[in-house]
Amino acid sequence: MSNLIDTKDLQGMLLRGYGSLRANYFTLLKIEDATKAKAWLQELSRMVSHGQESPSNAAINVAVTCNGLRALGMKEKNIRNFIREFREGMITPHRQRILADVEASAPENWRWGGPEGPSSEYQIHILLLVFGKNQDVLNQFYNELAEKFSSGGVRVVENLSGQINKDNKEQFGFRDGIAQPVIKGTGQTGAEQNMVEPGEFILGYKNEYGVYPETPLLEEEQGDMHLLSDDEQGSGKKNIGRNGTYLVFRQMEQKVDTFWSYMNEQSKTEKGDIDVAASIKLASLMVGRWPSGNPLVNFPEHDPGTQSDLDNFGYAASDKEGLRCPFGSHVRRTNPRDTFEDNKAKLSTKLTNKHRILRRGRSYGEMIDTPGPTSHTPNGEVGLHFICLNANIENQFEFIQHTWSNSPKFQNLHNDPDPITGTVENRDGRVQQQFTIQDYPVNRTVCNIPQFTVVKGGAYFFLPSISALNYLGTI
Amino acid sequence: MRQYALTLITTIKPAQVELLRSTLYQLSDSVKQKLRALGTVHYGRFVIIDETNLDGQYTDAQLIYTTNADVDPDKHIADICATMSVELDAIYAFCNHYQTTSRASSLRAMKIPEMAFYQGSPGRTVAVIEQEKALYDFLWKIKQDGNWKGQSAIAVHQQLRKAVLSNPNFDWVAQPVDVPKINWLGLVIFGIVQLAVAPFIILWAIYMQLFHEQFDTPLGLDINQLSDEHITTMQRDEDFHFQNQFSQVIDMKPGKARLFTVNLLYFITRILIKLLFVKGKLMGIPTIHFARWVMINDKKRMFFESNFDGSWTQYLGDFIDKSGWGLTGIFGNTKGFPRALLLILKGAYNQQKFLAWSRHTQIATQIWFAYDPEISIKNINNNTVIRNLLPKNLNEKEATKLLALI
Repeated sequence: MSNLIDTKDLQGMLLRGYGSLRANYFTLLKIEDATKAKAWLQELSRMVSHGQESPSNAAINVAVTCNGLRALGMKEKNIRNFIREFREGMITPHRQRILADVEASAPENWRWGGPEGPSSEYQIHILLLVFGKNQDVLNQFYNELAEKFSSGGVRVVENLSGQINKDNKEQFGFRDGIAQPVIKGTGQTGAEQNMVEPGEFILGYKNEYGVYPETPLLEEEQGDMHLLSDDEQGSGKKNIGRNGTYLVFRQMEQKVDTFWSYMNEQSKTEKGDIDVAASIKLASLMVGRWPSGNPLVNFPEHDPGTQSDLDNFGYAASDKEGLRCPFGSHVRRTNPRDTFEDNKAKLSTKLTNKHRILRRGRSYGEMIDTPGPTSHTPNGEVGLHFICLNANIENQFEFIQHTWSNSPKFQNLHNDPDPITGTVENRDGRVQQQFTIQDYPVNRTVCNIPQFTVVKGGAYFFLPSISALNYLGTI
Repeated sequence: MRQYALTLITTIKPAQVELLRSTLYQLSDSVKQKLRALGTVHYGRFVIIDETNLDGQYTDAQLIYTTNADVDPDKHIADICATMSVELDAIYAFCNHYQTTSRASSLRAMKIPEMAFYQGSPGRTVAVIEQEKALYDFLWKIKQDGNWKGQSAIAVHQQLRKAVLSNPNFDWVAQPVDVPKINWLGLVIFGIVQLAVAPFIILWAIYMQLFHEQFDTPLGLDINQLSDEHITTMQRDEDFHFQNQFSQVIDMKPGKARLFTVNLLYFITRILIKLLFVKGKLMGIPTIHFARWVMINDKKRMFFESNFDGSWTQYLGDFIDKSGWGLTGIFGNTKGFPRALLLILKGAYNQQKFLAWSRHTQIATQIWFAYDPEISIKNINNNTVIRNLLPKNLNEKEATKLLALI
């Protein structure tokens, strides 16, 4: 039964976002002494929260970069079998084009993960994802871990602090992280349209195409091979990927002031005053949900107010024309559900589910109380530590970012990139960046959208299974 | 108005391939500028097909030049000889069968036929596409600047129509452009003929399965097993514009049965392109500007090229999702393709192997020209719908539909 997943071998974040563990550190480490680091990793693998646990106090998960595998001493022939996106990293010239990491978001300007400097991509080897139910618990747990960094042969490059904000809101003030696919075969259940084959998120299982995603098989013997399972496809090689996945991490600064100032300006009254309701409405049209999380397609006129995680809905039945939730809105274009291009609803859902991601991001920086039209100046930098999990970075994360989010021609649009994450700095105004609101009798368009999010760092990681993490300590 | 395909091929002189390659890259901007200045060329490219060993025989490297133009091939050849002779001479100096004293006839002699040629915007010239884009921009601006609150769609339409028809820049709008329609009668007849010959096709598919397909040797690689260098070379030219290009050379599987099968599939493709794929979708895929299939080297190899919107991943993914059977039917006759079953089953549906095969057989395009590389084929076709609807008298529902496109 290859589809019955051993959830105890999965790192817990594949199955849960640790919603009750509100505080977190994402700690980027450099390996300074491989021998010590391997022993430390083995010890760590016994502490890692697995898929059957539901931690209520603290949790830790661990991911590693390609340079990290190299630093641990993995043989090049074995590294070669990891997917190209992971091996090449996030900042190749081609990837900069498709991810729109240009101008202010160019890797040269990144805080970490860029081409040069003390926090460059070459210095980042391991990512610890450390969670605690509150800041005190987190600090205590982290300090215990940190005591062993030095003897474990690792050094902190960056320690990124974050949290889940009140009401699960991201920094612009919208309830976030609602739409999540549910992995078949894990025992979890959800709406039928959200049930996705495990191979989209976990290596070693079949995906939505009915085939196994490419997985790193070991070409050369190295370490304690008994810790790994065999290739499901019968090559006789060991599969270090099984029960693991790839993790995408991007630190995105959110320009809250720019965001709400723009909404206010575009929706002001004839006298030039702020029209609070209109400003919130415009922002919600761009997001595709109200600040409370309620989807526009269900509540096109007003925010019903109560916080909502409503996710079991589509667009085909009630909003084929985009009159409720604009085609170009962030949530509709990054998850078109049953309106993928002009396909029929059922086929659309099937096609959309070939490009899903599990989102595990968290906010950073001090959130202002109820961000909105009249309160939008945070105290210092705020943003999102965007994290997602997927088995095929090219066909999932990069596809969503490139083909859906950054594309100005999504659906039948002309000059409309994703208003939330797809606009660029546009210093000289040479690119038209607009947002079209489908309406009667004519569509409304807001123009000259500034850049609301700026990428500040990023890298691709491998999130091994717990047994593979243990194995890495033996190579 | 018809769009004409032109395909020229010639061999490259021994040991001159690398010089030609660097010359093409050097001349890229100037060639593109001159093709653009003609105002009749939708898309064009120069592609080097490297030397190879084909069934044990050494085969020279070749240079392919292709265009989609609004003028017939002879006129287009005359045009380029008149306006870019310097570039042509520099490029073809490395090739055989080219005389600077008789450029046009040298080029005409290089012409080979296309086995199938699909266009996403049939019936429209470069000039028409540009005009319609200007019309869209004009209408968009009026829409944007006006206050339409409380008005009916009919009222808005009438005002837009008046603004356009009273503007001498748009006097051409009064005449609709003639775009082909789906030929339902033809499709019915085609369907009946298909039904009549279906038993023979099924028998043929069984024969192919028993005596050919099961002995095929697929490439068998996943995309990660391809050379990183090759993928990097392909990606170096990708995603600078909204449109992208794809050029591919594949060896045919040997034998007359394969040739017969591919010719049958070409024939069906040609008919469907004429009858059905006239609305900007090729087998349901709405992002393809054009595609063409050409047989080269005594039909021992196939050259395929296309222009598409968006990413490579989306383009190839669309093929798998929407027309894996069609792809398998044609490309299943080429070497290395994922193993097919009964001509159209399996094959391309093996996602990893199909994507790997596609990348593996893709070749670099040294000069790539698109008149407007930022416009999508959906934009082009929408603009035509707007242009043809605008001058008409519309009811509320029709007017609403029109305005939704702006």
